[in-house]
Amino acid sequence: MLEKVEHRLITEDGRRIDGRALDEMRPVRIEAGVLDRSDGSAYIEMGKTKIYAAVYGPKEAHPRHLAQPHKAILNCRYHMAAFSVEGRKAPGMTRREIELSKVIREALESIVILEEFPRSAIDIFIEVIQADAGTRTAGLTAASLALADAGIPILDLCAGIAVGKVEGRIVLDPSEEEDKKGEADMPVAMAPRLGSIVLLQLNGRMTSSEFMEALNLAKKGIGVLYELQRKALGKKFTTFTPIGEE
Amino acid sequence: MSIYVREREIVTPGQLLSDEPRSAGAYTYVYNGKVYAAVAGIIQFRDSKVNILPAKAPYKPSESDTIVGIITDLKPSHYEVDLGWHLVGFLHTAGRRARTRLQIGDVIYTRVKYSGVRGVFLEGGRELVKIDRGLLMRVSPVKIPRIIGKKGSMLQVLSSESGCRLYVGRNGLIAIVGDSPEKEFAVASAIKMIESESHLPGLTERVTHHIRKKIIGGEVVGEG
Repeated sequence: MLEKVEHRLITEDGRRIDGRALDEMRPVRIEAGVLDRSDGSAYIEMGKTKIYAAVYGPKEAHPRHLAQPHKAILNCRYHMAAFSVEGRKAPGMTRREIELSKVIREALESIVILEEFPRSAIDIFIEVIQADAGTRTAGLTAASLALADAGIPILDLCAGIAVGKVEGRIVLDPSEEEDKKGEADMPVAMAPRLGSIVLLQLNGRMTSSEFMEALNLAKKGIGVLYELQRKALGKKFTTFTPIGEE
Repeated sequence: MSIYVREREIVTPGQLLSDEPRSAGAYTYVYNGKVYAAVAGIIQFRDSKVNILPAKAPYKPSESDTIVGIITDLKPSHYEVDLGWHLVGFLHTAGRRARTRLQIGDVIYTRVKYSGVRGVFLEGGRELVKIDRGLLMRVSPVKIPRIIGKKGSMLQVLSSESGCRLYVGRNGLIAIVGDSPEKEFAVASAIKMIESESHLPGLTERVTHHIRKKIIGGEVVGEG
């Protein structure tokens, strides 16, 4: 006799489908200065999500009429590789990628000290090599680290993470399956030292208490990512100790 | 006045450095009356200011910086000068073009007269030097102080050991003018060495040794 078994994303004892606790992130790896050809670069791995970010500039703004006389402009491109998802993704920029480029650019504009470089442009490229949920926040985390690696003055590093609502429970850093089947998904990015939220989107529904719980959970995750970013930046300096300057 | 960092401590952007806005030095910013780091780098106290020495940073021109640039355009009232990176400098030449006779592609060594919202303007008077031969190389602008050395000591070693004349621009461009390519290349490789080993002690001696070896080596190859 056959019985219909319901596929659950969270077990009775509060474990998720991949064995994580509700407030547990996927394993993270963050590195700075991974690409030689760009002025600054970073790499991030969150579970199966793998992203490179590269920064060029500041350089001349093109087309010229876009240049601002008192500050630099940011150009941001978030792009997913054709092989980053199951089945092939068309290699061009989709509607979604153009939108994410915009929200990431706006988040970064709030941390970069653009007034330092009038009439110039800073290009940021975020290339998703493998996607498994949370690419916009991971991309932003990598991009802010790449900016710091390039030596571009910023107010603070920023880090981002998604929180989701799965089977009525708030979870940190949802995976692809939880994202698809869950009730809500909320990417959050913050500049922790400034205490400001630079990106916040919400897909689905949450009550106000759930929202606050989710936000606090995101803050916790961002704190962890921020420390990893700082460590990655500090690593570059362990071999660099200048002496006897002018 | 409280300072939260030590000399040579590694800091990252957003890190609180001091409560005293007047102590804000290079690569820092003041927010709500406190001083924070704007780049990742190493802390250096100079003139009662907290400065950060970054591993790499884009060049930002400031007044009285000496620069090396390349003429890229001739306009009715000025020359446009490529300063490397994203920067274009303007060199006003009202009525003096006939005397200086600069052409597109010429390399010049001069001083920044003004840098601000209006752009970067260069000194066109007697300070301007036209460099008509030699070797032009580019290094990271943050390494320039090390190449100059304490009160110009490293520069002194580079030029006296090789007999070359050096024009060092704060923008990271360096022109080396010597009487033979071997000597110019010896200096260029020594500068590359300074750039990559700027953190190691005993650099001056190694630079001296390096140039001597290169120049003698060069002559031996030439004779053989």
